[in-house]
Amino acid sequence: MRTLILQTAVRAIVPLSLVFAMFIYFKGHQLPGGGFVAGLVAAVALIVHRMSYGTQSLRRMLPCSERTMVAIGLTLALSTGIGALFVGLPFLTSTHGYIHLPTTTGTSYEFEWASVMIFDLGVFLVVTGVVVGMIDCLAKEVH
Amino acid sequence: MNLLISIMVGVLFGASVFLMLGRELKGVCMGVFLLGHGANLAILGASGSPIGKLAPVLEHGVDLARYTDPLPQALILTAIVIGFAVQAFLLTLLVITWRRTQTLDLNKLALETEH
Amino acid sequence: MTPHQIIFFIIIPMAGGICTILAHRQRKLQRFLGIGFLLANIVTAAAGLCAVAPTGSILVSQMGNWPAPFGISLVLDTLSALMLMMSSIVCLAVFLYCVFQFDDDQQGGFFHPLFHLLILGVQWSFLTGDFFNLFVAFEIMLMASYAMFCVGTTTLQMKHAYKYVLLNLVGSILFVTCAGLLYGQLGTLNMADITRIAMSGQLPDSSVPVIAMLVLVFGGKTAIFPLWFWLPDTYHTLPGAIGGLFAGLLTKVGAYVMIRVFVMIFGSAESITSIVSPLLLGSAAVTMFLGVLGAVSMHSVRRILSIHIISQVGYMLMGIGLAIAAGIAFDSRVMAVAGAIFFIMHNMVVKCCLFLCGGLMHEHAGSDNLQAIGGLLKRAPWLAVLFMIAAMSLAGLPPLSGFFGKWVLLVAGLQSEHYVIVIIAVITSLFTLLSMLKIWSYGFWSPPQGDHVEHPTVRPRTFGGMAGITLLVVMALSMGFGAQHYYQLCETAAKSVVDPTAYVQAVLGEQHTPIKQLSLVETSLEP
Repeated sequence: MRTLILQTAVRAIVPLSLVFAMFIYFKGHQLPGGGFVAGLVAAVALIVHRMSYGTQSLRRMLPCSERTMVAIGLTLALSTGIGALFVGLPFLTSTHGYIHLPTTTGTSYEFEWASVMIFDLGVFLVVTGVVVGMIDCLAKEVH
Repeated sequence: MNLLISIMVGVLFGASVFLMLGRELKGVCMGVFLLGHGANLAILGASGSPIGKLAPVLEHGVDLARYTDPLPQALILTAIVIGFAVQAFLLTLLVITWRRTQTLDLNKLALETEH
Repeated sequence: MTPHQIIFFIIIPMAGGICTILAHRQRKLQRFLGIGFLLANIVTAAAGLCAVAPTGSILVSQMGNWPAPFGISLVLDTLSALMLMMSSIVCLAVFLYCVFQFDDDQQGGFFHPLFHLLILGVQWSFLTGDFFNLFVAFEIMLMASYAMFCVGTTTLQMKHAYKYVLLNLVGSILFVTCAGLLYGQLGTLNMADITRIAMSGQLPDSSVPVIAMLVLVFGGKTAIFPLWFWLPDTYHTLPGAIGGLFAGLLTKVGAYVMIRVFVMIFGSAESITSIVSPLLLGSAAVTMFLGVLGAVSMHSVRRILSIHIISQVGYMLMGIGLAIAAGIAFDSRVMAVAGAIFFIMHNMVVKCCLFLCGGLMHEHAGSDNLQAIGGLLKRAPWLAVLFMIAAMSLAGLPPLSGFFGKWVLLVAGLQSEHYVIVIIAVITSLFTLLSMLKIWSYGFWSPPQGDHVEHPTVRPRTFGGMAGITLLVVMALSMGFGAQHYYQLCETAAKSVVDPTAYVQAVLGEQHTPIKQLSLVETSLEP
């Protein structure tokens, strides 16, 4: 699949998809979306990149191996869950609050943060890592 | 709607049993995947007809009875994810089997002895 | 231990899995981490047991603080605590064996993370308080076991792996279908809530076939009579220790779930027990007898032990069937369940121990075919002693642990006047003795026979294996000589299972009105 057309298109597609994944991730607190879907979108972007530039280039793009990515994601998810235990609440209990961000128009934008976002980031990393790793392994087998 | 889903579940289960009874290992694995989809559809059917109801993204001032039940959908999502992992595993197993024995026919595999 | 701390049963093995993935190239570090996490697991299990067992209290933690029938509940009662205690000890013993006996190749790949994730699945299924999480826990456990099936795989092992994977997959899919249909009919998946519905006699008739299908699902996992065929074909292909782990945990998880579901949840619903009880009792009789006949006819240590698992499952099934049989007094029901629980605990330890012994016999003699080996008594006297204790315990000679488990079950059977199954159980017990003596006399006692197997000339290093086996034998002996104490624990567990009022109250709280949830979802959205 290493054609010039795809390679040129991928240069635009991959960053756009990653931004879109971030959008879905942040939207997911109250509306459909979240870490899982965002992870899938990001994984598809990475796989498309692998298709056109090859597995070496994918390795250079990822900060760590997929295995480490999954482990870090699981650690994040687990540790947010454990956090609730320290204040005497059951595992995975979530909390949330608001941050006021300044905008260009002078009014402040209210951003709702929730501890579940860190959990979701963990899910994001796990899903991306698992899907990319799985497809990479299977693709290596086939060639 | 429920009748349609029930028929679809029946068709999927029937097709998957047919595939699983075959001699080709690929077909058997496909049969198991289809069975999984049938099960997911059965859960959806058990949660009641979704016709005329809203997706369960709650908004203020809307009567709760107008939303579909979100739980079966959550169950299905989980089941799909688990099914995804299992399918990837089975496919890998198929690839390895093919590489080792050069056959996916169950009769020939049965004759295959240890190297 | 406070109620919220029961999550440690899930956190510890999961953390073990994560750490061993991160330390994936450092074999030594992985081993140390593994032993550390397994020891922590045992300590947690002991703390849990101490917290619930003396008073029969129940610890409940609602995940994410969502109220009971809607969120995910984790419940630690005496039954779960006993199972967790035993399984964590079995895991440590198997792990010791694996770490010291397996070569780097067998421990390579993802062996260590898989081991911890298997434990995660097992412990989660002991703790969970709802059907869907039970399914998820099963899947985690099975995924890990599928992958472990292929560790250091041979073509033969892979061929049999298909049977195991495909049959378990079909079982899981049926399970998730049942869960969905149950939700459609009852509007809840929480075990305590379903128990409440069953106790108040509001179970609709249409749910009977769904629940009968659950017999198929759990029966397949536990390997009971018509659904057992996958087990003797697959387990003997595994290396000794992995076989021991699967034999000690996986089928027993199935038996545990059967107690939970058919005795505790649906035990009070006449429409269900009248169907399930004869099914289970009939299947128990055939399972235990045919299983032991199969074992007697085999000529390889691992094959004998694999088929034996089935025969032993029959006894557990007998206890469960008796407990829900029609017209039985409360005391006999408690006795039957306590017997089944005692037997599961005994069997986890002893069965796993025998598999480990079989693995070491293989290392000493270079084969585990009984017609080719012999004279192991001289080569490995300590192994012989430990094997003898475990084997006699399995056969049920007093004063060893198997005797008391069978004794309680037989008395419960006599009290409830189910004479046929009692007679079959006694005959099975005799055959069990015969099959164990077969391994003993061919493998250990008789002089080495046949020159077609070359015995290893170097004495294998068996320190780790012996440590694991010794740990299990000590447990088995303590269950024999301290049977009274163990039985009391089992009785406490059985009482709360046969009469689940306390369980329901602990999980659902004092009052329970389903409508509350709807308003709760609404208020959680208020800005």
